[in-house]
Amino acid sequence: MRVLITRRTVPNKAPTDTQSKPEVRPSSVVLKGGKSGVRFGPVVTGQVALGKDGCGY
Amino acid sequence: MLKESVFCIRTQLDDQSVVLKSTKTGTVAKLLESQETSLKSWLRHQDELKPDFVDSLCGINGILVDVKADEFVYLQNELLDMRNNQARMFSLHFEPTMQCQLDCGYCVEKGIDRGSGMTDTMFQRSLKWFNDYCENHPEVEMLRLIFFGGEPLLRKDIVRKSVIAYSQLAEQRRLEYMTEIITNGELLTEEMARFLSLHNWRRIQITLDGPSEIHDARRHGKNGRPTFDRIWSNVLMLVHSDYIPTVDVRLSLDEENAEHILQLIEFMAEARVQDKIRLSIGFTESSLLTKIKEMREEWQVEQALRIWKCARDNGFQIPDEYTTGPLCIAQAKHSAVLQPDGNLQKCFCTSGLSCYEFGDISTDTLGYTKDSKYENFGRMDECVREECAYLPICGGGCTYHAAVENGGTVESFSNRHCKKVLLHDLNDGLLRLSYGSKDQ
Repeated sequence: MRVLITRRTVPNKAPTDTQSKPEVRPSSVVLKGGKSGVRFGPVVTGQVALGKDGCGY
Repeated sequence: MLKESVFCIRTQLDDQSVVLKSTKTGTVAKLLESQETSLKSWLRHQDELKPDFVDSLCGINGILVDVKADEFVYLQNELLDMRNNQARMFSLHFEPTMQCQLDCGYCVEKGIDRGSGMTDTMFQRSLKWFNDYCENHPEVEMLRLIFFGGEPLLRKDIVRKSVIAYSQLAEQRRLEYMTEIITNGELLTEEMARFLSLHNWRRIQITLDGPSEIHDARRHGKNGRPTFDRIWSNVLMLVHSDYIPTVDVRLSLDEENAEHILQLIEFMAEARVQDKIRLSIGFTESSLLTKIKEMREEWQVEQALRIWKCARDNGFQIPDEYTTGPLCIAQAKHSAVLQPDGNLQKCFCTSGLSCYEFGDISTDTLGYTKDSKYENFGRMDECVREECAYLPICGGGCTYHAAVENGGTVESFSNRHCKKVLLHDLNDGLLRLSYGSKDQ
């Protein structure tokens, strides 16, 4: 199948995460820094955390 | 003085190390067993020499917290404040039609009155309703327009005019705008993909239930018409183009198809689509109208981990956690499911069931899109009493499934939907898969 590759006029990017970004640099034991506030849910991140979410859709 | 957070979970790896994770902050730390021993010792005798890594586990990382911190009170207050006072996004699930060309046995909408598509009058009215809502709620800064159904692409005409009109309305009101779609994928065309890509298309979700013969036995058209080949061809069209960064492929999972999901993953891996496909697992469950055989949580965990291990080994990204909350679309302050007839619901799982409507676009939605059935935050009290470490990633669980389990009455929505075994065992396994050796 031939598929055209087009340019978007509005660049797509990952859903906006309105949370604060991790502020602590990984040390020798921290693999992934933490975030403040509520991390999940459409109220916060604009996504249903797919792949990590128990919601049935 | 410090203590280990009540929201800290622990996973033993097979290389004499442990993973500590905060369900509240998401921090993941990996300690040698000897480091963990020294940490425990120091927590008992904090006047002694502090291990050098202790500071990195404090503060925003939240593995260690002030000994006086009442973390559950703080979490509950934070959730309510976030929901009630800091909601800036309106999530509008837009249903152009409740009709669907597929006939899946486990569909949550099986048995509803599917009626006809949205009329132009109703569509125009919806625009006025949303504009008025934004007028009354200047705090709303963002609109997510999420097409749902039925199958939304049965009515491409409505999808097109909605995208155009709502994105223009958002621009006039200076709202950030994004388009999403939940579709079975069969009717997607390159022309539609190109159109959506011009309107900040952020997400598409397409469900596959297994390799073609399994998928076609479950997600077939009327009279058993096969659908896999067309859907997969459309997925490849997206993967090989630049219309959307990733395609969310949902894997429905139950006893019927569990054995075959691995074949589907290997099939997708052979097509070299790993970089552009994001997998998720959806356990099929009973709905308010259809009872299906319930799966034990232990079985769900076993199957899900087998699938995630296969996905990881085949080069797909896998999640390092499994969550069931805490604030879902139905509990959000500014959210609605707009049905073709103009009636409003909070949860798409009750689409087509008129007894669960909370309003309509012709009348004032009084203050905000409120449905008190989804505002029973006291359903978390039992979780607090049990000091459940998973509360930050659960929030009492799915309100809809709590209602399904308890008869579907108005009162049944105030129950919690506890999935502690699933949350514990699946998160334990995902941490081992993500941070342990490849043999885990």
